[in-house]
Amino acid sequence: MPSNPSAQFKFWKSSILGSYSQVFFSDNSQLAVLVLLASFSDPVTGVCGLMAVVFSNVFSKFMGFNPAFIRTGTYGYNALLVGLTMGVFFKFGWALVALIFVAGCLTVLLTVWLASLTAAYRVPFLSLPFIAGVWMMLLSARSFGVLQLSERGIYTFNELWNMGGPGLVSFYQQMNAWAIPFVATVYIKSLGAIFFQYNLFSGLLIAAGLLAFSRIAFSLSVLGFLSGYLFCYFVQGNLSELDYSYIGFNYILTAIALGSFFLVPSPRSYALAILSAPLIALFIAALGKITGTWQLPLYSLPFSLVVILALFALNNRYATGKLNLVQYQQYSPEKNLYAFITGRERFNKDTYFHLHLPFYGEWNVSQGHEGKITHREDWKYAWDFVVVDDTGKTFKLLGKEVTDFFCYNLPVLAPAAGYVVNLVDGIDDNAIGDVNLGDNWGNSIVIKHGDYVFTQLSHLKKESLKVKLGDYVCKGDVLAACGNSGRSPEPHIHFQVQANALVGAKTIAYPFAYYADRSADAYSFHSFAYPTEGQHLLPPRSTPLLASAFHFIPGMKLMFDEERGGKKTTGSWEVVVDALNQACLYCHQTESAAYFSNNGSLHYFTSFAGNKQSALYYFYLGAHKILLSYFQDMELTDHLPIEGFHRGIAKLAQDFIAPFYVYLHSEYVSRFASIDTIQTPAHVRIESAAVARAGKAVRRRIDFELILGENRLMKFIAKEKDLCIALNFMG
Amino acid sequence: MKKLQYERPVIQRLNVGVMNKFGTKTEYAPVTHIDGVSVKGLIGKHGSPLFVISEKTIRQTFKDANRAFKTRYPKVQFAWSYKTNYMNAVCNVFHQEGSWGEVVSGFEYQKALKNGVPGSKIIFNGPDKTETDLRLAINNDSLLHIDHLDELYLIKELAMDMKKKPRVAIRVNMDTGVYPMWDRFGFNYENGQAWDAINKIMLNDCMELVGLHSHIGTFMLAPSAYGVAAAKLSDLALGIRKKYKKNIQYIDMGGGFASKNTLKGSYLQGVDASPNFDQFAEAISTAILNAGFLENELPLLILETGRALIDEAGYLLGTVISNKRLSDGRRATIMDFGVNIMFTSFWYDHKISPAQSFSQYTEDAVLYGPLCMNIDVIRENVTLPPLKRDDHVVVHCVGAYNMTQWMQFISLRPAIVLIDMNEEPHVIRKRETLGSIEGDEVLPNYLKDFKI
Repeated sequence: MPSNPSAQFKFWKSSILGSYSQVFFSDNSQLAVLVLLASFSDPVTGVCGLMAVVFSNVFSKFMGFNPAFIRTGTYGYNALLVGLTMGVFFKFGWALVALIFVAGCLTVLLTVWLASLTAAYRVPFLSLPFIAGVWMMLLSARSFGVLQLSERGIYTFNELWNMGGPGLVSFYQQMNAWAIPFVATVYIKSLGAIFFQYNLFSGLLIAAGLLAFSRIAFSLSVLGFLSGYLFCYFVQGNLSELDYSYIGFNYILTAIALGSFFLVPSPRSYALAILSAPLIALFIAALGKITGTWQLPLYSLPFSLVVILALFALNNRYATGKLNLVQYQQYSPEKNLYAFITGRERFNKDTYFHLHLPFYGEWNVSQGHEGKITHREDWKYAWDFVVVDDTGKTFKLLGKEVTDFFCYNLPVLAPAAGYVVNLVDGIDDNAIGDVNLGDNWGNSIVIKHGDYVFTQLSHLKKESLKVKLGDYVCKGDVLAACGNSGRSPEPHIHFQVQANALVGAKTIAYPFAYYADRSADAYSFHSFAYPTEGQHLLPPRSTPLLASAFHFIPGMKLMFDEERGGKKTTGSWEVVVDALNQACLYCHQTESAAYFSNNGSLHYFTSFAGNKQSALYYFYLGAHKILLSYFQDMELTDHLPIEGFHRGIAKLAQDFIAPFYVYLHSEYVSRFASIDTIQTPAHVRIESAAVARAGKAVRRRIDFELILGENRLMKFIAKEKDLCIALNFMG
Repeated sequence: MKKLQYERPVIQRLNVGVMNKFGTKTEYAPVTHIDGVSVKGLIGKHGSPLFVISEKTIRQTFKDANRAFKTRYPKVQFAWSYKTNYMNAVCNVFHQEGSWGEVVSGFEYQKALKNGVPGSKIIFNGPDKTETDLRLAINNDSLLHIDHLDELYLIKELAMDMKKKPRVAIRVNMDTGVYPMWDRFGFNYENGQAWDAINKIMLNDCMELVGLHSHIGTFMLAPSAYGVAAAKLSDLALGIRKKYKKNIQYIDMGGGFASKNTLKGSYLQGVDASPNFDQFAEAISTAILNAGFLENELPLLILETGRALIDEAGYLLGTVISNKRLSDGRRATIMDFGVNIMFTSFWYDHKISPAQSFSQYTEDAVLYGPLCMNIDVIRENVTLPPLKRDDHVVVHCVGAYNMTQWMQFISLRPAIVLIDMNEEPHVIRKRETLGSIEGDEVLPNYLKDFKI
């Protein structure tokens, strides 16, 4: 809990606004302000809602519930809805205020209870606390004589007259006279009805807020509503019910929730949103019959139940396929979608255990996966490695002796850390051309890296094994020498990944984490890929200067002089680690954080939060992905997030169709421009660029330059058109 | 029909000696072309004698060496030994392949700089570095390999004077089990001189000790000696790590790898006797990998191999001046190239091939150079087909040292031609003229005129 007054103010402001925007699954404060304004189109109702929010948040704080949830409005939004309902239903007075207070507290308690109940099933509680709370209030109010039913929401003109006099009434009449189709009117009113403001005016405000907040949510709201409307029309349901009660928004909220909030927006999630409309209609019709007995309105009960039902089912699938649940909620359909796209492209394979090439220097794949010679059937996911010269020959002299072969007796390394769980030694190297079918695998080592991840290295030289059974080996340790034992007509390393410790077990397809391949004099970089036959492979090896420059130790401060447009300032970034063990560079001045990861082979940024004009944002783009080993002229490419980097109309237009087609691209490329000494550099210059494209047209391009020296980052320059930012880091 | 070539008759004594597995050695397989370029054409255009260098062979040999080391050890760097062959064209082929420069004098240092080698990639070896040389090298941040204490003290003085911190290494000599032990260069490992020098550098803040260097001999036929040397240098490096918490950046194993030439007195031919790069790489890298370095602290391995990288790429083309019989009846052939331009004939029995075809008859002969000096013997005994005046021969494996140790004694030095990757010849050094020798001579005025 923050202690100083300004932080206190921020906390309460955020808890109030959050309670409003949460109704639309958002944490957008602009949307919250618009919604808040819309709720005040009937001031009494608006005040009741606001009171309920404040009461419930203060109560939550008093009870000691999680401040993080209070701040985001999680405890407040159900109370808000209860407060609004009571404001609409009852006449204003001290009794109502008192009851709103009680209702607010009750809703918070219900929220906590239902939250823990639903969490066990990995589903959200949505507005169930609101339904329970409001039913309690409506049923009990009948016994409290002090509460009188209000007539608000019935005589719209009277209310408008009270609010804005004759001018507003005539404006509203003009609005009604606009040739807005019936469906559109109902849609807009239904939006308003979410906040119990059943009029065009607040409906339009909310529609505008929704559009500004998210193009995807807005289009889904229209889609969901239309589907519901058409379905009711088709089954000859009660269309006037849609028009004249607080029910139509169920279609809207369900479409947004399933189409874009809990699921990553995609054609399939849109289909699901459309499919949910008949379900909602069904729930409205059926449940309405039951609750009608006690004259209780349904409100958002159909929405809550349908969404919970759908999510429960989705949680119990065998495979996610193309309908993906949002894993890390960013409270914006666009952010969720773009983060999903970038995440899939960048980190899809990061869950693999990192295996490295088991040799020094350049080797050639003589047989890859599903090779023609021996990599077939259960053993198809294996690689054979040999050393070749420029002409592709694997041997010198006549190639009649094993010693004529370049790879014979070369060191074979551990591909990653693990325990030696099986080994075979003592089998003679074959004469060239001969094979030993009896001892198929020859001298072999099997290393266990983890459960179900084992690697096997075979055809090793007799008595060259340097490890014992049970030894723990580290990545890069020399295990043995390349030989020609077993079913091997000429010396080579056989490498395979398997799920158990047996020599010659069934292979599994498993990629190498990082490697470079050379064709002519050009290198290309691969991550989590499968080397193919004929490729010339090189293991990356981290270069001391690069490794130390990007070794950000928690607590470390990077101080710099910043020069931007002739203005000189100083700044600093601190390396901070959060509770989830995520490390970031944090700029206290701009309150910005750039999250990064360093796995020994690569430094890369994963996400950014904060001020996009800050130097840290440019550094986040410019050092987005840096290879810590040097390969001459090799380009390293990556994807940048679309959200944030693209701007303007094109981005807004893209949002509408993003679930179906993405035409905006952001790319990152880095390359070593100069290095003084390859193995022990004292000076490295890296050039990189971030490019935003629409189709093929470049819309934005930022060029970066990183200069490394004295075992650290020395200088960073970012250039975009007229903008030039230069950071000089201090030692 | 082409007229058959006349060959003078040969009388050969029938030898019934002990059989050996190599049979009678003959070298009459003619070499008419080098990398596709005709020997006759080259001599016709550039005169005789003529040095020819094959760029293809240089690059191929370099790649072999590079592969042998880089597939055995993760951090390898070659430095081209200028003294072995400092023709700019040759040096630059090596620099294009990624080699640094290794020099042993101010003159070579200047040459490397002029060729465009960055100062920080020049290794400055040798016992004779003048103060001027050292100042230049320190300014260029070159790697100074200290040979003796006087040099160490001088560098210290210069560093303080210039307010710079030179990067230095010490040359270490040691017993590797081979004779002769090159203990005249650097500091001895066994008697503690090396540690003395290391302590003097480490306890002094004005130099940075970045490497350890050894160069155990020349034309080494035992790879195991390099294994011993690498183990001893690694031991020093680990000792420094332990004592001073400092990682030595590199271990420089120097050069001395044997080429495919045949040493005088060797029973086996060089091709069979000399170890290949794989054997040297095996010995060195195994020793360092087994020494106990942490995987990510393995030092850079620098190699200054000269001879083994260039010897086979060099040819000397020559022409027969005359034939004669010696008093003992042996045939003697006088060539137009002598020991003044083929210094290595003191060490090796160079392989010499005729450049035109002959019948199968051969004759033992002595090959003499053209100099008016008794020592001018190219081969004391060689079996060749009967050569006539104006016939051409090709001498093999002359790429190392000849083009740096030659002299214009009695006759001028010939031109050098480099045959590029596309089999195009380029003159990389012109045939000397009177002007090249007299250009720097100064004749006092009073000696200009005389009457005889």
